[in-house]
Amino acid sequence: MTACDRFETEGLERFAAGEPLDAHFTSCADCRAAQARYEMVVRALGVAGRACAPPGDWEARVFARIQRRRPRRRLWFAAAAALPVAGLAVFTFQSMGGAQSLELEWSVSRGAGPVVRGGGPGAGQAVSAAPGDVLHLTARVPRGRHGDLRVYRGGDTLVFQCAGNPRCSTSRDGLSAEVVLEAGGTYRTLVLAAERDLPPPTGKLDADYAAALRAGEAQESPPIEVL
Amino acid sequence: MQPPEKEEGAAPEAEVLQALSRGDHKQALTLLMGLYGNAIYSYCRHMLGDEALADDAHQTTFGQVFFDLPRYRGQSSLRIWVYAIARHRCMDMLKMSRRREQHIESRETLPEVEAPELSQEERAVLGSHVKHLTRCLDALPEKVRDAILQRFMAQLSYEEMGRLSGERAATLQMRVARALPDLRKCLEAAGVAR
Repeated sequence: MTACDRFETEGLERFAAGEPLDAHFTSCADCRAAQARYEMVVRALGVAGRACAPPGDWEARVFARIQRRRPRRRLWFAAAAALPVAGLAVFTFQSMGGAQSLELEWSVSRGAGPVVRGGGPGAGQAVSAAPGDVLHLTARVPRGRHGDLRVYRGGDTLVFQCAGNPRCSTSRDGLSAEVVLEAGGTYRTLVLAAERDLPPPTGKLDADYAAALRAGEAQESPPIEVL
Repeated sequence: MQPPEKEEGAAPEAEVLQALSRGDHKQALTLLMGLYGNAIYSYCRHMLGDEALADDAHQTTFGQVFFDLPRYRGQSSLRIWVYAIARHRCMDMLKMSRRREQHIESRETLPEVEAPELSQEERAVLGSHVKHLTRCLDALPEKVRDAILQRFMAQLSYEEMGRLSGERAATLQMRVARALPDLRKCLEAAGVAR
């Protein structure tokens, strides 16, 4: 005798919609068994959905991100609107403190070829780049302050630090460096300044940013997605 | 099958709306993170299959929620509105990860499940089930996976899903119904649902 497959052919859509099934499906043993198997699938999805929780500090990190992005949002809009499609893309972010403020300029180039396109405004928007592209950084540090430039990949890998690095140039006005974006990932740059020695990096972007703010001030570039 | 819970956050959303009407966006965000933080993370985690990407999408979602709160006009519930932002962020991440071709490999590492009420052994079993489920979901096309997660993890109605994706509710219902046999077979083969 062939098993009844009406649940699969007729009942599944109503089941998926959470709608009541007709009398056949409650009296047919094959259909009841089929329904039970799908209920297991739905239960498994529900359990899996409840089993995953974000890292414990996630809410604090959201607020830290917001704090970092807040002052420069308007400038980010202006920079994105003015972004040339071709040529060198240059972004400037500065605090509102006038000439004495900490400033970070950056651009991404790809040899002599086409330039990496810029992203749009708003949280989560990123500039796209490719492995091998070069990130050009120039930081203006207020006179008399200790400064540093740091580049992070994925928020938890410090790939470049200016302090003590021969690839970093120091002038009266600040720091400059070129960093090859070697591997895929999301890169972010921090420029930091403080009247006293800066706290050494932990390698974690959020922790280093928070430590820099405690010691002095910091600016962060928008993310660069290396794909 | 029990129908999905309806608008589980409807009453608490009133508090969020009160905070918004006071202009207290920080409090509104705090309340929204408490209401939907875990569910959105779970959606991103299963949609993206990668812990780091999910964390980034989750963080970015709530950052965007904060900046967009002043523009919220109540066209949909806050829950649907937050899901819509999360969905866009996850789709962006999927596009990027597809280009990076890291998606499949990264799915092999899954976190320990959060279920403090269970013993270590039970958590391990549950973790294994979650891992199999993630693999089975991964085998589905993105649109189908998205619909399954919205329907059975986020417990959205088809009308709500339609508002998120811009597709007709009937289309989404059909998509889910057609995907269920594949998902069932995959889970049964893994010994998760039998």
